[in-house]
Amino acid sequence: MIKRKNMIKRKNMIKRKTWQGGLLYISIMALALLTLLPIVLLVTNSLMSGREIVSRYSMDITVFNVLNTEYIKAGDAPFHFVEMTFLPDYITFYQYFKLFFKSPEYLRLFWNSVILCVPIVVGQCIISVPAAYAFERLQWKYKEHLFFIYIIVMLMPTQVLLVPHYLLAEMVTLPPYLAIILPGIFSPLGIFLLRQQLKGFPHECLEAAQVDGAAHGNILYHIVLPNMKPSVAVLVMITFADYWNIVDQAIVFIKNVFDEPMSIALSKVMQNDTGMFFAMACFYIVPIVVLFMACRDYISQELSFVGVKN
Amino acid sequence: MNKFLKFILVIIITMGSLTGCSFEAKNDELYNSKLEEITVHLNKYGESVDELIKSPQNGNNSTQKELATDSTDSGLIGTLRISVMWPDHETNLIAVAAKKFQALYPEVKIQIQFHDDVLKYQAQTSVELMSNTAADIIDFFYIPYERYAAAGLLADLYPLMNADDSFHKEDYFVNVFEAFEDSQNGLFAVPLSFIFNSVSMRQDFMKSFDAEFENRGGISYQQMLDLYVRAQAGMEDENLYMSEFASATSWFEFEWDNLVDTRNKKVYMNTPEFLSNLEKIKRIKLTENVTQTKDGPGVIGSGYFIRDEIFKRNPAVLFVLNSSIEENIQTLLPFHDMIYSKPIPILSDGMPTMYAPFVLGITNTCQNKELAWKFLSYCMAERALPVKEVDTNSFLFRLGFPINKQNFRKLVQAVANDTLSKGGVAGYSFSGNRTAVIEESMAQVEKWCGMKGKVMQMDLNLFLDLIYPDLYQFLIGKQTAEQTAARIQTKTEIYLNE
Amino acid sequence: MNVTIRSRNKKKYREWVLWLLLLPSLMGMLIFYLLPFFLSMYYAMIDNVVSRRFVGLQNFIDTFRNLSFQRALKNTAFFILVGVPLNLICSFIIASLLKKMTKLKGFFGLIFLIPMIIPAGAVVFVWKSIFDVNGILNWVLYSVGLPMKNWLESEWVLGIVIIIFLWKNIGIGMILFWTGLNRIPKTYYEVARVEGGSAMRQFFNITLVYIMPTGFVAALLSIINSFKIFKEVFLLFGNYPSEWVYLLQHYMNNQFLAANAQKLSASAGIISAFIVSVLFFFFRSQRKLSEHFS
Repeated sequence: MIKRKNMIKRKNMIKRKTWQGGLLYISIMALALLTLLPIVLLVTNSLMSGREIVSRYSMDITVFNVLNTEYIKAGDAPFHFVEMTFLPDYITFYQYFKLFFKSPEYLRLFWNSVILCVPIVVGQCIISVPAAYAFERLQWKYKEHLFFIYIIVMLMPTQVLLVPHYLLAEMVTLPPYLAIILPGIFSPLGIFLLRQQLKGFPHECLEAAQVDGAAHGNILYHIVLPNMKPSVAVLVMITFADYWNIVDQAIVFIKNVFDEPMSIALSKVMQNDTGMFFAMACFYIVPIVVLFMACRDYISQELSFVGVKN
Repeated sequence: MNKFLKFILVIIITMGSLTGCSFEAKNDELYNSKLEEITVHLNKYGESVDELIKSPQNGNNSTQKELATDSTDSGLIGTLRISVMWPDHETNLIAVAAKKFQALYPEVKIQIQFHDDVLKYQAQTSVELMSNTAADIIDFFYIPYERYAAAGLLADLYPLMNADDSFHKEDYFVNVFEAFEDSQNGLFAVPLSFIFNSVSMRQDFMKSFDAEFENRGGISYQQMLDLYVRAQAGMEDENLYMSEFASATSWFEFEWDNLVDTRNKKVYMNTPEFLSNLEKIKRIKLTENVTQTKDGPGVIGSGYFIRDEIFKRNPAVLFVLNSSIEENIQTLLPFHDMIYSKPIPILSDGMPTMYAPFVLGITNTCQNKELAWKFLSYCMAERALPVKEVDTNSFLFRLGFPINKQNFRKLVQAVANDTLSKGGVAGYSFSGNRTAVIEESMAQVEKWCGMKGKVMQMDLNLFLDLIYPDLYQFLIGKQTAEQTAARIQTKTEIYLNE
Repeated sequence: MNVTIRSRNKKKYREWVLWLLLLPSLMGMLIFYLLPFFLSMYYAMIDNVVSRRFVGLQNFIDTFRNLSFQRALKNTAFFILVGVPLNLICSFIIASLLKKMTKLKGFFGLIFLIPMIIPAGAVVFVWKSIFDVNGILNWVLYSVGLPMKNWLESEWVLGIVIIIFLWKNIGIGMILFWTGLNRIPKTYYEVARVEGGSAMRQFFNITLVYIMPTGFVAALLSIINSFKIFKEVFLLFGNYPSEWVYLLQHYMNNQFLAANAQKLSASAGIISAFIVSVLFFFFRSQRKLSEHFS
């Protein structure tokens, strides 16, 4: 009797679980779709011709969208709603053609972005990994206070430090790219993220290795680094995304319009030529998505990570 | 999978770099073509370009802080840095004057930095001023020089002007200098050219609506608006238009003095009069040349005699703005049977309004202010204008009247000659001795330009950027007047209080 | 005797090596961050860049009294106090939901990370098209029959900014909470179930406690990213947005454009003071809580 009741209970539980599981999947999928919506729109809109973009998005009434205007109240101006769509009326690659072959100056800007971001990311990794390890292993009375200062500096908005950086750059006559790259390399974000990862690291392993006679460098390279890979991947993603997007410092430090990174040109093109803006935005997103895919393995390692590798 | 992605990344970066590197040549091309434009036009003056003009890319990364020692008797010595916004047109008065100045005083070196991006220019000027590395002379195009002056970053020019013996004030339009004084009667920005805002009205309208404003010294925008509404109500089909200047933002441009009190930081935009004016603005019909778009009023086409077209095509256009010096002079010339009146100045608080498209100033961090002032006065001084092309002349002063009276007379004479010769083509005739007519007209224009004027003490572009989004929503009927007024009030208060 | 001396020397040598590893970062921080910060504080204490007269705290007092600054402070505080907890809660919920899924975990997890890497300028157009006067939201309302509104200029605009902030930052919080949740050993849950605790109590006593350090990191990252939302707001609205979305960074940016180094640095100093006090409180409470629970 009791066995039967238990079996029924278990069956009910399984049914509820599968029903709950299905709901779970649906809700997560809906959220994921919602998250990806703007990006998908970006890609599909880049395949539209310029005329279609204007007729779809502008508030003005043109020949092409006059049939879709609404007359809200008698006497008010007629009104054209934005017609966003996943499928353009006419799919054309003209915007990409215009971007790559007719306006080569944007490719130059893209290259500027790359030579601005890559040294920063590489430098961050080189500097932050040993520093985080040192922070963790150091025995010093004021260690936490120093870390506190790091955190405070990390939270500063950019305008605060812009004028002093400019002064420094002028005093030492740094070339404009270096004036942006050097502060980026020494940003405290890296140490903060990596140290948090290291906090969960059992000290016994490290001390055992030390007793066995390994130097700090060896410990770092052989034991700690493989386990920190996910954090480093996250750090690379965050730093790259930050500096791929840079606007404030670039406007001030870089004097020549042709040396600017592409992030600044995006907002200008958005107002002037909306069609090419979509193509440019898609092109601009590609490197970072590629980097993301490359780091994906490490990050999903993090996602399924349970214990410490020895 | 990973390898494939890395391969793609490498390909993209290589492609980007290859095409980017080949653009190095195009960059030089663009730079060289700009240099060519300057050469072509400086050649008109019999000049030739040399290392004077530096482009931003290979120019002034190294700030030359050589101290200047000036000696007034044996000629001037020193270094000047000038920061200029690249003009729309090829000629640049600063470059021309700098060349000649350096020829006159061989011990002086002048470096000019050209900018062509407004956002960059604003940001870089700010940073340079804050870090004490600014140029000695700055072009205030799109720059809020009132704020810099209030912060003490600019030098007062009156002491320099008075200390300079070779500068005779009577050769210049002193009324324009006075218009640019700040509240403590200090002059922080000197205009190299100026224009008075004025309108013309159709003669028959003037008579029928009893609006003899020519003789009343001017008309305020409020009066124009009231007249328009009254006329519109009086006409049967209500098809009365204002021309391109009268978009909704003009109200704020001309009446800002009654709406905003910059000194006490008060804004008066929530009064019932303002609300009724907003309603009146909504009733304005603009001529076909203009559309009210999301980013501001847009004018399609403008030109020398297009105003006649406007007046003739739309039978009922009330006011037309005289926006250029050509139009101002044209309406002052005694043509027969002109359908529009003489220019009527637009008043604000009883005083004619004016603006200056070409304003320069000296920063307080300049080491050698006397040298900088000497150069400024040289830019303002009388010079030989090429006689052949009227266009070059007016662009030299950024389409304004020159502030030196001799330059002014030369320019007006050239324009008047030009207009009189073209007037025959456009259908207007005049009678009498041409020289005498020109003399009389020039005297009239000079008297007219000698009015004591008033300059907007706030950055107009910034102000319009502030209010236009809400104003546009009101004009298309998506927002009531009260909401719009409240919102504009708050935004302006935030701006003033900063 | 020899052994002890040698081991002590070795220990000192080890300390040295550690300091050497830390040195580049310290030097960089000093030159590029701390020095400029003190320089800007010096700017905040003089009256003019040209005539460097020392005025002490007058600039700070003036800034505090400034009406625009107060408005900006109110708006920013509201945004952070509503946006950051909302972000943490949402990412925690999504992380725990993801944990329950058996397959395709990694895939979905990564999808949520993608908004973080998209440049602001690229997506602003899409946001504008959704929330503008003639945008999609208004179209939906119009079709249903509800009254339309200019959302970008109304008092709901902070809500829109919070939506954009959430869209962008749920991914990184989710990743952090995911790792944190995975670190809690399953044995604790087993013990709790055996002892007969309900799901609620399990949650409060186990999950919340052990997720605290991760939560702290996620909160800090959220606060940093909430400052960075200024970019999107600037691209959407320009220098002078409507009065409900006028943030502290707008105030500072406008002072920057007006070349007023004093007000800029004074407001930066006030913000730093706020951040320091909040962080102090944070650290204290975290230490107290972890002592309490361990």
